[in-house]
Formats: sequence, structure tokens, C-alpha cells
Amino acid sequence: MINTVYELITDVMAKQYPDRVAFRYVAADGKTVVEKTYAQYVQDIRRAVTYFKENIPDIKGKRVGIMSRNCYEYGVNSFGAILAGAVVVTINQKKTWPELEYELGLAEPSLIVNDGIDYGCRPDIEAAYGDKLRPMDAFKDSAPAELVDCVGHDDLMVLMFTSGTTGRSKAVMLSEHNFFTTVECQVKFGDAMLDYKHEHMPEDKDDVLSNFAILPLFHLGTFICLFVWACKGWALNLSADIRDFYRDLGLMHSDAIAVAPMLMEAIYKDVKRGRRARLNGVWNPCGSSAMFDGAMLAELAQQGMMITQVYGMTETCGDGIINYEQDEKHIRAVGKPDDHAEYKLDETGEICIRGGCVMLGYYKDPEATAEVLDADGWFHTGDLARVDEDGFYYITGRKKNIIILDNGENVSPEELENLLSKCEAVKECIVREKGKKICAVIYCGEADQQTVRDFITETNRTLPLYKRMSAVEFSTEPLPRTGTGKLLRK
Amino acid sequence: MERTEIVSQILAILEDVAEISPDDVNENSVLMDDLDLSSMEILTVVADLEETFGLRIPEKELRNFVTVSDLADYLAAHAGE
Repeated sequence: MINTVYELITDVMAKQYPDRVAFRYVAADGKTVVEKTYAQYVQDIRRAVTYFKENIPDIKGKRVGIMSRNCYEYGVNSFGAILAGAVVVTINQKKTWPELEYELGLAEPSLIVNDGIDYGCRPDIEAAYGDKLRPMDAFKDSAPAELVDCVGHDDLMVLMFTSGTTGRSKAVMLSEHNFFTTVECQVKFGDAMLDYKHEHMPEDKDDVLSNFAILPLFHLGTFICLFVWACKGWALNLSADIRDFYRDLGLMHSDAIAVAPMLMEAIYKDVKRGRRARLNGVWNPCGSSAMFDGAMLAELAQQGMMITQVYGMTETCGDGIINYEQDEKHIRAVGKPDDHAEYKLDETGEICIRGGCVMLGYYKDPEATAEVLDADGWFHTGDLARVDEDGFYYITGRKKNIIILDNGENVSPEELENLLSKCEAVKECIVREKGKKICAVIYCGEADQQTVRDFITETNRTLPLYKRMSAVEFSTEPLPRTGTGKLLRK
Repeated sequence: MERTEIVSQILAILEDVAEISPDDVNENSVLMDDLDLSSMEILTVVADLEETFGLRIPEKELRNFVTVSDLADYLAAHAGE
């Protein structure tokens, strides 16, 4: 089993599968599909190693930020920075400036490779980090380096941000050991995909599969595919913008697709409404948010789709439990633990995981780390579950005060509450999930309700689509509080 | 293109993407709230409008689209540029 980034690149990519396609993407003309082989990819990774070494003095352990939509160079820069000895920091390019300012300030990157697009706060980024910004293809004129294995297996290799419960994001520290623990588990899943394909599509003899990667690479769930699909010599079909979902999928046949609930529902609607052709043969939607409608999943399974659910989080390097049972009874489960990690439900019903996948901790935040990682090495996920008589786990709720949205993004209610509290008419507010929406519950004078509504509409204009408060409830009385005086959230 | 024509294109696309009857939409309808569109549906609507009007809307403009009228304003100002 491949166990290091160095082996993955020098043995698997360079020697086993050099002529296979590693990436496909649609060119700027919106029509042409570009392919990159593993041989080309390795060569570019070697150039990136040289580039980072030459441009970051004393590079070992320094941080390289990657702030870009999905593209081929994302993979090149990630592995290039790692094999140059740096720590990769993936950054959500669509965040607002206060969030980016905080995250970049915490990570202190030596360089930030980025796609140069203005997502709303480009002037702020340039003002603060202009001298550190480099284009995604900055490596292209560097000479390919000889690769050496410089990665400490249990050292910090990748930093990824996750929503914190206090409104500030936390940076999860992940090691090579973490990544390859998850990779081993997911490579086995790749074999299960082939088994399904042989059984259900025997006429199709092509066992080199491809994965449509439209969820962003700054998320662990997509980032890990850079490792897993490469282990198989399979291809990632990259899509940079959710707007281009149907166009790109139509141009690049894909077997698998990682989906957030909103994409699973879009696929379901297409199947129901006789528009399956535009999905171009995709047959393995893989979801990872655990809250799907079981009947919808069962119907998709009946329609010849292999339904997969992965339960994991950034703190467990995407690892956790995986479910590809297709029977109606278990299809909604997040799966049944195997022995590659230890699992338990504590006395409150919270899932706890221990094993090689569990993060090193939160970057520069020992207090937050101590809250979730106990002395015995158990990681407390914050997710509540039940186990059925067959040993399958089902997520029943969350202990942590985080809203997980339909598109898979996590939102901290406090962050939105802080914005709402800037409106003078708002006396008290909480933000919570209602149905599939973010709902603001406001206590204000009856005459002020329209003012507050207008304030919310204007606030929404400053927020990314996924963070918008799309429902409002008014109360003419103070909001209920707990015994200790905190606003009651449920 | 006349604004009324732009609005009727938006309504047609909304009907196609999200099965919302044009009778239930007006210019002040808030996409996520009144029309209950998911962010995926909004972006699918945007992609269809881009194709219809032959333009590409810059990333940073996307967050300005809160109501049907916002979409119509943008298209009226930029279609045929």
C-alpha cells in the first residue's frame, strides 16, 4: 500500500500510470476538453518544487496558501509545495475579507498562489498581500527538480479551515499519516465501485474510472481525491464553477461525482423529470453530509445509481464511515464502522473516533484542540448518532452549534448574529436552521419589522449565496433563554 | 432588448429550472426567500441566462442578485455589450 506523497508521485504516477489521464477540464472557450496525463502532471509537480524552493528561503515548514477555484494547477501546486517541504494551506477564495484577513493572518503564508479572480474583495487582498501573490501557473518556467522524500510522516503537511463555533474559523492540522490512513480506506471503496460496475454494466469494459470534481478543492472531501484517484491511476474531471455543472458534465463523461445535498437533489430531479441524458452517464453520486432523504436515495438506487455516503470531517481527514449498501433499509445510514479506526458512542450519543485519521490539532489553538481531542486520543465529532440492530450508524443531530447547509458548507450562527446586531432596531436575535434555510429569529418592535427585513436583505447582498438568511421570524417578546441566561437555540 | 422581454426570459428560465409558474413571480420576488430557490438553482438560472444573452457574469456580481429585478437590471445594462 502506498503510504507517502513521495511514493504516490514517483512510483504510482510516474511509473505505473504515466500515460493515463490524470485531469480533464474544459478550456476557456467553453467547448474544448483539455487532458493532462500523469507524466505531464509529475513533470509540472517537479517544476513547482523548484519554484517554491527558489522563491521561499528556508522553506521547511513555511506555509504556501492556495486560493483558487478548481483547476489542474491546484494539484500541481499542492504536491509541489509539499515535496518542497512546505505546508499547504487551502483557502476558500469566496470568503469575505474579514474572514480571509483572519485566516491569512493566522496561517502567515510565505506565498499565496491564486487564480487572480475578484470574488468580491480582491482589492483588500492585493493591498495586504500583494507582494506574496503568485499566479497558479507560476511554476511553468522552472526546471523540474529531482524529487526527494522530505515529508515527516507525522508532521504538519496541510492546513484546512473549518467553521468554529465562536464565529471564527479554525485551522485543522493534518499530516501525511492522516491522509494516507484515509486514502487506504477510500481506495478500497474504489474497488467496490468496480464490483458494482461489473455487475450492473457488464457491457462497459473500461475499468479506468473518472470522478467529476465540482465541489471545491479547498475542502477536504475534494482535496483527498487528488490522492485517492491518483492511487488508482484514475482521472479527475475538474469543474471550476457550479454554474458550469451541466456544460462540463456534458463534455466530460464521469463515473462518480461527489455531491452536496443540493447536487444530489438536482440529480434526482433530472432523473425524475426525464432529463437524465444531461448527466452524461454519471452513476455514482457520493454524498457526505449524512442528512439525505432515504426515499430519494432508494429511488435513485432503483434507477441504476450506486449511492454512496461518506461520513467524515476535516478533523478526521475526511475519514470516518463509508456506506455503499444499496438496500432501502440501510441506504440512508452513514455506514458500519470497520476496523481501520476505532469508533464509539459516548454517554451522550456523540460519535467518537480514534485512529490514524485524527488530526494533529487546531493550529495555534490548544484550547479548542483540548475541547475535541481527549487525553486518550478520542476525537469527539460533535455529531450525535444511533446504531441499528445491524450495526449501521445514522446521524441524528449535532451537539455543536453549527449550521450545516444544503450545499455542504458549514456556517456559524454567531457570525451572522454579529452582523444582525449591527441593526439598531434588533433587540435580540438568534440564527438557526429551519427546513433547509438559514432563519433569523428577531426580537424587535412591531413597527421596526420592515426596517429589519430591509437590513437583512442588504446584509445578504454582502454575503456569499450559501450564507444568506433566507427566512425571518419576528417575535414581539424577548427570546427564550436557558437557565444560565443564554439565548435558547432550539 | 426591452426590459419586459428580459423579465419574461427570466420567468421562462425560472419555470424550466425550478418549475415555478410565471404567475407566482414578480420583479420584487426574492430569489431565495419568496421563490425558495436553492443556491444551486440560482446558479443554474444564471448559467441559462448567460447562454441566452451571450455573456459571462463576473464572479463578484453574483452576490448582488437577490431579487428578480436585480437580475433584470444587470442583464438590461450588459446584454449586447
